[in-house]
Amino acid sequence: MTDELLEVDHLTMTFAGGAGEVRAVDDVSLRVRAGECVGVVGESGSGKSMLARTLLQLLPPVDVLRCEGSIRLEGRELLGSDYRSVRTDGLSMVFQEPLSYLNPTMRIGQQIAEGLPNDVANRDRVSAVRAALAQVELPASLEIERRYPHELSGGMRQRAMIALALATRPRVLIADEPTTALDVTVQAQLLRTLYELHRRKQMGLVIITHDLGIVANMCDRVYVMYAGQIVEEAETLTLFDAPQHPYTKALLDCRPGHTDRREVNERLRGPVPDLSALDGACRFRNRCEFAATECATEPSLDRIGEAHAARCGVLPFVGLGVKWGGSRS
Amino acid sequence: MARFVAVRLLAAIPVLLGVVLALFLMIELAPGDPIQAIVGDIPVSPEFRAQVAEKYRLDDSIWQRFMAYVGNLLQGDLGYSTAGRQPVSDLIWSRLPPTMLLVGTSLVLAAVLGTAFGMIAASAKGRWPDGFINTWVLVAFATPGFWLGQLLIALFALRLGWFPTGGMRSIGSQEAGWAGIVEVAHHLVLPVVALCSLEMASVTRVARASSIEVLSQDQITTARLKGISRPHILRRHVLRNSLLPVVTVIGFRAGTALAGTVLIESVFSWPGMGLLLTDSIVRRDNQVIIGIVLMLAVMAVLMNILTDILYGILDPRIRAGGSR
Ligand SMILES: Nc1ncnc2c1ncn2[C@@H]1O[C@H](COP(=O)(O)OP(=O)(O)OP(=O)(O)O)[C@@H](O)[C@H]1O
Ligand SMILES: [Mg+2]
Repeated sequence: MTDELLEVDHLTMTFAGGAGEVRAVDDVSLRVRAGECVGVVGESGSGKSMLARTLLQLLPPVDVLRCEGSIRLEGRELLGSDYRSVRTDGLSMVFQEPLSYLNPTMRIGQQIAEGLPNDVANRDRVSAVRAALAQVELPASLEIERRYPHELSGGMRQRAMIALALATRPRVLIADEPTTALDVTVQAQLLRTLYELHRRKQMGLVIITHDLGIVANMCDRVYVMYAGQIVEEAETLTLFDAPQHPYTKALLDCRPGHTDRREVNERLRGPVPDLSALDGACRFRNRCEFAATECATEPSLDRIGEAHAARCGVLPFVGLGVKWGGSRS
Repeated sequence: MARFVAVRLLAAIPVLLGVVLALFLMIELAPGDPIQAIVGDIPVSPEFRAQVAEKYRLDDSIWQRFMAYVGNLLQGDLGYSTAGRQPVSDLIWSRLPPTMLLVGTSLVLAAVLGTAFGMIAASAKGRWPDGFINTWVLVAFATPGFWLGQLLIALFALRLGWFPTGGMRSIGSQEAGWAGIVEVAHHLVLPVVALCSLEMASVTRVARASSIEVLSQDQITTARLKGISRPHILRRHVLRNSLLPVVTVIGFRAGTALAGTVLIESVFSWPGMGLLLTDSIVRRDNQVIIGIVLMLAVMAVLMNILTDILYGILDPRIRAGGSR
């Protein structure tokens, strides 16, 4: 397929944590096509932000030991290339906390202008900034460009952040929990703006979230992340209709209003594995109701249908609902 | 803004009164005889003594003298110099420009270079430029200014002859215009180095710490996201955000520089208020001592107000809170 914008293969990022090497991103492969919206879901600490930041090589100040695999944007390999140019044409990102990610001492307009491509002439920059703000539904009458971040509401700030991220004219935009800090109505409006923008520009959009409602409404395909790995990938409808991986099943059963919520919470009890002390077994094993002896070796991500894959060693049993019990500690 | 400055100036008045009172008490406690100091090392008759005491009201109680001084002060009268035989205000005005020149140059240099060194160290954290700058900061902290001054004189003035040993102009010089400016600048180099070394070291240390802090903030991630170059990030994003603590330390350091200039001016015979102060202490010229210290206190207060104004300019969040 040629319309794939972003192709990530076997991406692994290892950093030096307190207790040894931590593989925060482990063997992640993903695809984003032009005009496609892709979701990445997983619980807190599963490595979603680390994945996004690895893609942009904007890692937090950790001691990164290795970045392996391949990240291709429109066929061009990014890993090992000059990342500054990648960020100026191709990939961009929106963060969860717009207030801390904006410069408090600089007007919004200046901050957006810095991201504009160099070929925008000086006299066009003011109108380019206004256009950037207008496309995220911040009309010129508000004069947002003259304001400082602390003078804006949370929703406006996140819109300004999106305008800033789009100023570099990315082909793929990664939004890392863009609405977690906002209230529900503002959240819905902002997501609609983001969705319409990506449709209009035929831009790839990666939405990172733990809100399955957002995924159901916006995403064409979904990647489920657990402990640094993709454990299931599928088209959204398939995932909601016929989840395969036990973790995905549990996640879906956790949704608000779902019948067996309490029972599921009980099921998902237990700690997320310590990424610096992996034993080579399936990482979900200690919380899995289907855990069996086969789970002592790490499963691979196996294709189980058109655009559907899961990382589970006992899938047939899961499908049949055969629980071994007893093997959980 | 005008109201803010007015309030700060009014708030400074009790501070200045306290300074004057403390000085009165300290001078009262100091050993020595002012009358003997006026006439010099010769015997004095009791009649003459009474005459002088009468003239300068030396027999009044300290409170009477304090109240009289404050009363005169309110009319702009700083008293009369017994040794200089002229009004204290005239004496101080003539000595103010050299001190302002010396302290001003030192502070500006300390601020600009200190900030630059601090940012260089921060952006090279853990590598050799950082180690180099840190070592220099430690050495500068451990070096008293007056001692450094004498060292500089011994090396650059006496041995190498690159700079004059002291003074602000060459003896008997009548140079004016550019030649005059160059001459003063030439005399200024060593005292400035001696005075600003410590100040620069403390600015560097604070600028380094605050730049490191800013560099680790999320907003720098955004700056990198935009693909702008590292020098640009340092200049446009790190500098301004790391400047608040730097401004604080400069405001604070202005006070220590004003205190330091007293010794440095003596070492370099720089004809400013500091030299006048040490001379006046030797001569027990009390009115001058009080006048100068008061003047230094006023300058320190003004520097503090300037610091607060700068805060508002640098950080729009403070500006928003402070204007109400
Ligand atoms: N700055 C950091 N230093 C060290 N370890 C970190 C740092 N940030 C994250 N980690 C570790 O990396 C792993 C993945 O974290 P990440 O922030 O990517 O999770 P996440 O899925 O984004 O979670 P959330 O939903 O809470 O944002 C976690 O084990 C976390 O402890
Ligand atoms: Mg996150």
